[in-house]
Amino acid sequence: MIMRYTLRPSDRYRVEKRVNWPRCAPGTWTSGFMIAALLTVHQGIAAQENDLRVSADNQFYYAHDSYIENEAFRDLMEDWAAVTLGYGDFNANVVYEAHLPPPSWSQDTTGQGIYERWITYKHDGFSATAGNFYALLGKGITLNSFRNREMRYNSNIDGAQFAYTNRFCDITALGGRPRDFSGRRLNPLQAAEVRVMPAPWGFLGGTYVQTKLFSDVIASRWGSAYMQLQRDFGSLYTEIASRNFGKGNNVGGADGNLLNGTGTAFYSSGNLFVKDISALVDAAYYNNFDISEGIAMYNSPPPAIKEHSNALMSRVAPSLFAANHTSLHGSVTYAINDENNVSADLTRSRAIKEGERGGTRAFTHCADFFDYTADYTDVFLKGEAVYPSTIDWTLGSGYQKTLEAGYLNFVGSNDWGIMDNYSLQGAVEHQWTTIDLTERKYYSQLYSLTFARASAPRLSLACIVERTTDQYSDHKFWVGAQLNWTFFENNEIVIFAGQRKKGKICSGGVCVNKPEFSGVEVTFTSRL
Amino acid sequence: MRLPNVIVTAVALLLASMLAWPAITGEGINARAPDFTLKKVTGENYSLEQNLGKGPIVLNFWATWCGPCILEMKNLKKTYARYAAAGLQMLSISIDDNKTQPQIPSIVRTYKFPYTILLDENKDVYKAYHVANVPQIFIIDAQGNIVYNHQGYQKGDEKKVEAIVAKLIGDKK
Repeated sequence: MIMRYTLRPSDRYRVEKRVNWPRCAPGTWTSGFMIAALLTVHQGIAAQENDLRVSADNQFYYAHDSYIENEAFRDLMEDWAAVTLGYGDFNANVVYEAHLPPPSWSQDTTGQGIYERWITYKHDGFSATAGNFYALLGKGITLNSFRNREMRYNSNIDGAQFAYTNRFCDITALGGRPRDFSGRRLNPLQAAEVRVMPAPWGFLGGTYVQTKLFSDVIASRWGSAYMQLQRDFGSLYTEIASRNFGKGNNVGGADGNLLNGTGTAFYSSGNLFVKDISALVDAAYYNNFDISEGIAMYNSPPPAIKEHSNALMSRVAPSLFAANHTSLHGSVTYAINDENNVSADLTRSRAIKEGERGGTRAFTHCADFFDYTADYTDVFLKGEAVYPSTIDWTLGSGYQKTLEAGYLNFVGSNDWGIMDNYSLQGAVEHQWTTIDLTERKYYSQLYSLTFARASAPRLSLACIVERTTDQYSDHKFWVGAQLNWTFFENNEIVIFAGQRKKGKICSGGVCVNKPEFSGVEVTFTSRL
Repeated sequence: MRLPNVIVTAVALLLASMLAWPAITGEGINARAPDFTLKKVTGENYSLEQNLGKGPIVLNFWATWCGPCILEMKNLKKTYARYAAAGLQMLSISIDDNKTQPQIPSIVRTYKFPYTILLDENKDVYKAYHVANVPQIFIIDAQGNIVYNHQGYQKGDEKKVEAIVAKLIGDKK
């Protein structure tokens, strides 16, 4: 799990110095109506033969947060519109975005425009992409650029990518200039991956990345070799990587620049199946392995850590990145039958301390912070059951230990199918916290109750309540309600009203710290 | 709050897309399913185009960290068991990234999912199908047309899927 210091929209208000919101810049209506026209004419195109294909999606977001002190900055609007045009083997994509006010981190003061565009050609295993694209080599240890709209994270590369795949091998080559959060193009980056699959039960491969991201003169390079074995009784993936290989154990860099120093990385994950028992073990070791520029990172390797879907536990889990940490995660699940199972997880992670590799550690500017967050232990036990036949139960308990505190958690949830098309879901989370230094103790709780209807009009209504006894918390009680309404199958409106506690929210391995919220949020998503 | 033109632009986008909705959403949309080739969790390639013509295909996007996705897949097992012999294929496309992907084999094994598990690490197919959130399910007929798609899961949704699959299998017979 990695922490991106991505700002939540309302955060931007707090740091935004510019108060003159953008007026309609030349091209605003042009861009908007181009996309609007494309969406509208789709009716006609859909009726035609399949020569020309059009698809699109649009997400509109509005929030009013009364916890923001400056009234002028309490409103936020964002919109993303993506359109894909396909003809034969070609696909062209355009993403229009509008952010109001403009993100504080962006050099773009209009807050709107075509933020991404790319064209792809695919034929008989060959594909070529030009424009903005994302790349994942191996498990992302040497290169992983991706986008997460919810987290406002986007590390796309502007350039070209070529790939060829057949039954026995995959070859990928790419080159381009990564963009940072401000939209600025960085120095070029080139990369390649080759994967060979000599047998159905395994493959092996390698990756290579080079860039002058940190220096206009000296190129840094990353390389890895990996293999996977796959059998009925289990699987094993192992990747070993090196940074600036061939320079010896010179963590500090030959020119004294820490960023040009060497680094090593190792990641392995294995599954083992014995009858109804599944075991998973993954281990990670990353030492001076970041490819980062400011808050944007261009490699994002997997840490070995339990990711919790429960809100309170998820907030405690650390955010690990590729600089200096080692972690180990193990999980065992016993499937009693198709519907009932029990599982246990153990995670242990820690920072690689100064001098452990005999050299100066890179990223010393944030080393203290990282040492502080990376030392972490997590034990989690969970059971899932169906009883009676219409109710799914989940019960779990976990203990999390950081350098500063211990957290004991209990979580429970159920999903009850009532009648044919209605369901009632409830969840309870309870977390005791003990601060080591002061022996201060308090607890936090989260309750949620959701009523859902599966047939049209398809909707769900959830009520979420949180409370804490922490004496240092500004607020002790948060209550909010959320309505999800899906109509015409592809379109969904989500309205949240009320308060929400601050804390980390994770999605797909990327986490962001969201501030406390009080007000209304509306998200409208439509897809064609 | 002043109403900048950018809001008007966004509203124009919404209105324009609303005009197009009825023709192309929900059941009977008959849009061509974007072709793709993805790696199975076992490492082999899977091509949609090469597997058309055998029967309907139920394609769902899911992730290991998505509770409703797991529930949906659990509740679709009966449908699969009932119609697999008649040609039904079920593809479960995982959008797990490199951090959560190692959990896939364990989850598939624990819940005994009989589906073809595919990996969409870069979310290429996710984007091609314009999926915004998981779970999202598509039903593709034997000719490669999307005849149904639906985002989210509530208990009971699987009945609609089964009804459409039954109809497609029946049509085939």
